[in-house]
Amino acid sequence: MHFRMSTPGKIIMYIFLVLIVIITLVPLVYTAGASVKTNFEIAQGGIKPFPDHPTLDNFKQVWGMNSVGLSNNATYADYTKNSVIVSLMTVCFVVFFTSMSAYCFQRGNFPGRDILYWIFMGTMFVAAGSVTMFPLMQITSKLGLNNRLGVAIVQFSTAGASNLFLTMGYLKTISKDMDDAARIDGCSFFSIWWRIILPLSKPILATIALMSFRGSWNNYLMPMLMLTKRSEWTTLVVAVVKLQSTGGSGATQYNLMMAGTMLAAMPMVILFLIMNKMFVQGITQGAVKG
Amino acid sequence: MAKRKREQKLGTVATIQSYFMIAGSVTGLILFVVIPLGWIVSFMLVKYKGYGTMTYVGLENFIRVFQRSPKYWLAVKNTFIFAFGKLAVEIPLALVLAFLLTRDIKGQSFFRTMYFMPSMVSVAVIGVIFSFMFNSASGVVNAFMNLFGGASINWFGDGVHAMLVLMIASIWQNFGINMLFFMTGIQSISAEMYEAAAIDGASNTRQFFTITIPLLGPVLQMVLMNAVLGSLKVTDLVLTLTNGRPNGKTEVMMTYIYKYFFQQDGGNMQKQYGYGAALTVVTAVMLTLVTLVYLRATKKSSEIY
Repeated sequence: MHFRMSTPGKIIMYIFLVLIVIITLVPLVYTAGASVKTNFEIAQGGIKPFPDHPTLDNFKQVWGMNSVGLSNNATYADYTKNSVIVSLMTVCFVVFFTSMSAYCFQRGNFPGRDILYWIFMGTMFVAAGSVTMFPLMQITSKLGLNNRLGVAIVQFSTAGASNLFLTMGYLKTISKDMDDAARIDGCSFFSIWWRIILPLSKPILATIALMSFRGSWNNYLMPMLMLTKRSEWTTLVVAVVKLQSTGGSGATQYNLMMAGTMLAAMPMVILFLIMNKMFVQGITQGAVKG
Repeated sequence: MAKRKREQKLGTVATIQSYFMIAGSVTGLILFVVIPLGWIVSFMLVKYKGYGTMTYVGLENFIRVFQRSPKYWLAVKNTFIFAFGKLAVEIPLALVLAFLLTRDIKGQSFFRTMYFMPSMVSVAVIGVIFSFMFNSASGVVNAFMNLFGGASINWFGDGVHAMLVLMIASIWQNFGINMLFFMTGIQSISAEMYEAAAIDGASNTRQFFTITIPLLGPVLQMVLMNAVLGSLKVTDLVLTLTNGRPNGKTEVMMTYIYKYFFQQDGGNMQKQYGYGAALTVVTAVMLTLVTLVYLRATKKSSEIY
């Protein structure tokens, strides 16, 4: 795009842009620094982000440590595993069911289609926020779904409408001539989805898969309140927040807290740096049209 | 509809297959979205502590919300202060950055990646990070203040400072997302507009105010609405950063209601499901009103949906 600016103007602009980058990085840099300090070094304060002798002991300790306030034998390694399991299950549910139902709503013509569609869309606008957590918790524990599978199902269900909306938008761009050709060749309604639509909608499914993975990995309230059956199923983010109250005497062990924080935050940051373009696409698609 | 005609040929087998294919999504929606909403509505007229008997109390819960709940209304006030305080910084910042980054500048994708990075981190974890950075004894923020000759501040000691920390954390997390939305919007504005303006001698500042802002209208409206609603629903950040401390001065609507259901405030508050449900309904109606008033005030928004 055409851009004219005087040299001093440009310098000021770049200083501004870099300043914002620094502000953005400060919390992450100090988190990384504190995670390789001893608690004594952190308590001394000061503005030095990294210690003279970085140590990985905090990570080792957290990795093999049991969470405060949870009566189980699980360690942060297990909590990490739980996060991975729950996130992957969520992604599977989202991709599989969203793709199928988006196809039915967009291409199908069954009685009740429009009503069901408007129920889906309507729930997107009900602004109850996180306060339906309590009844949600009641329902899942009655159904015996107060486990990792349950969290995945609920995460898929509560995000269902917006994913459906996104995927349907994408299906509109796939020509219906494809369906017709397949139908003439003897494909049923279901096998058109399986053979034609599913492979063709890979780009949008990859996007919602990535966004769902991020959402699930970062989720706090749902896994915290729902995983009541066995506390060793706790996810990483929930366990990391519990590190805020480590130390029986009330003193927080900041070194462990920040090592845990790194464990929870870094996988997403690294995933983002690798798949930057797809995340950007996922965020902007659907939210802004044109 | 002409389109409908072709669809009608699908037949009974297709209909049956459709029902099986949507069964998963529809069951999920009914069980975990519709029924919980119904639960809230059905509990708003009763009194129930989670054990013992459930008594029907009519509109008593609502009378209590409107007449005897100063703490709830304080939380409502806090929520609006939080939302509008932080958006007053976040939105202009995002807008200016988007404007600069859509210009032909060096390192565009580097800057974009950096600004967007914080939104990858869990909100709850961001709360942990900022509670560490702003802690009064060894926090790095106070260390910087001391370095520049200022005195240490007990950030979580009074309402104003604690609210400020919440806002800073939230701005840090969200400005990148809003910047991305704005960038998409600006990129759809024709480059010729800017070129014509530049030939006529319009400065960058002038281009920003006479081209970018007006033409970004619909996108700006939508981003603002999402940002306002998102901020009014803030929950996780408050729970992990201040949890309403000190003394309820940073309590927001969602965390206040949450405590009536889950009783996590050291047992200060009793579980009161009926009252909590009434609070939820009042809050949801309030949020819906904000949306409606907003949509009314910005007529053009129908163009985006």
